[in-house]
Amino acid sequence: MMHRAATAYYWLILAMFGLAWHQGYAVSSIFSTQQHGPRTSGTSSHYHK
Amino acid sequence: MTGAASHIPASHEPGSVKSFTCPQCGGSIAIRALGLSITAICEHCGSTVDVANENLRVIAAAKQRVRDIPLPLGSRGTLFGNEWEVIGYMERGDSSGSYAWREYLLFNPWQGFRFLVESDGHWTFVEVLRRSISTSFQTIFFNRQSFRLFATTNAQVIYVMGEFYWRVKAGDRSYLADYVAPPATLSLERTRDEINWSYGQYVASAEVQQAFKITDGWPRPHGIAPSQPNKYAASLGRNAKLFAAILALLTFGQCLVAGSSRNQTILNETIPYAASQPSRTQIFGPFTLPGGKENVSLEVRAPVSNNWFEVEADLVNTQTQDQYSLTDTVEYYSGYDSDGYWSEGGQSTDTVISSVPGGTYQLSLTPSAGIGAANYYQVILKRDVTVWSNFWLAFLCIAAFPLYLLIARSSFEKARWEESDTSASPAYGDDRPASYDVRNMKLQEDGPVADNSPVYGSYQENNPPGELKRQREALDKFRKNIGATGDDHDANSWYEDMNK
Repeated sequence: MMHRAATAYYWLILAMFGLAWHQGYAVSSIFSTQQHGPRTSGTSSHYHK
Repeated sequence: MTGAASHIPASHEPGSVKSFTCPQCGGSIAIRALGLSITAICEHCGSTVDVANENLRVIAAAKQRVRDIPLPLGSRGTLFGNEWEVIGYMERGDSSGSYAWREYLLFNPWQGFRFLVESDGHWTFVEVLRRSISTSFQTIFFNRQSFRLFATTNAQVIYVMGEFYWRVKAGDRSYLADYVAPPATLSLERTRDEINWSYGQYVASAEVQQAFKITDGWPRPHGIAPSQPNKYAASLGRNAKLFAAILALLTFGQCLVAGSSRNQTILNETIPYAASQPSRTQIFGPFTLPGGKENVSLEVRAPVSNNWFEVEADLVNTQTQDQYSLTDTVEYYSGYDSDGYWSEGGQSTDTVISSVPGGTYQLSLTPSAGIGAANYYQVILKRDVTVWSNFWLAFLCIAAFPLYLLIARSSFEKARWEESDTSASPAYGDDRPASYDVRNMKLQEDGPVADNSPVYGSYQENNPPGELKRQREALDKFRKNIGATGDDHDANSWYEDMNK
């Protein structure tokens, strides 16, 4: 039982690793000061559309 | 678990259940292993009766009330492929009276006698060995296993019930030494007259309960038994190959990640920094980030020393106005103190932004710094860099389970050996001489062990000369009388045969 649970757990970790790779996700990004969203600062003239 | 009997009752034919009248109370005493049993304890009054001769002499009058026991006398169960009948029950304890355990004598006409020992709800199936083992060390190598000394006890019989193949009564004393190699035990038992070694195997409580079909009053196991298998060690063994395989897969995956990462430099700018114009925002781009959802790394370098430099960066998709904002701070401090040179921080910092869709972007940078920190800084923007943090996090998650098993296994063994009264460490392979020699053991009773008590050499016959032959002959006679022939080990019908 424990062996099967461990097997399922390991495959889940591997799947998450693969998914993160596919989505270009980096775990380290959660340790830096980052924000993501629609632009809310600056003037639109700064940016070319 | 002593074993030397010296006489076979001759008045009744072995192989049948016979009843005697208790000379103490007049109650009926059933003898199941007739011809082999020497002592029987009246189930009605508790008196110990010598059934080795027709006189049925009372060895010890009843001192205690008859007890209800989890495995009643006469109950049968199949363990290790053979059917056993409980014919005797004995409760023993250490000399201090603080600890007691229970021993059930089992009988099968083809296999002879065995014991089921219950202590704290844990069960051990025990067979008396037919040879002695010489030891003066804390470790014994036997049956391709290394047994470590676990405990020594001066034990005494507290209570007996049923029949036994040796003379036993409450108050009998013996010296015990238990060696363990889970799930096996080797036990030494020395009385005034003999030394016996026995080999035990741990049996799960539920297995014994199921074998004897007992439903009520079953003792629940608690604590850790000396010979209880370490389930974590077994699990660790089973999971080791799986862990190695998954780790190999993960490493292979990371190699794929590293090999396929583009590590493409999108922007590499060295930018002057004027302290007179701090917080001046500069815009770079537009530039194209290729691919689908991939990471972007922003590295900031600044030649700071004992100072700091900070850049607020906004990566903005010029089509969707989607914005990724981050702050990179470069700090580097160093100096000397009483311990010598020290430093902390660095002159560059690297931040990865996750899942940035491909498209056209601009980068907005707003620097700020300490006074005199730097007069320029460098910004390097890369697309699809190799990420190691994912690998290490996955590695930690995968290693967590074996790590847990390792710690649990160690804790299990620690708890086991905390119950040991020896100074032996739980480390394996320790062959230090013990602080005692079993050949010089003394009993804590009225006087030392007699000088002429038998001590057998290495791997010699365990029982007194002639005893094994006597037991074999008695068992042969028993089988013959119940109609069993040859090597018929399928003994499922012997109970019915006995009761014909």
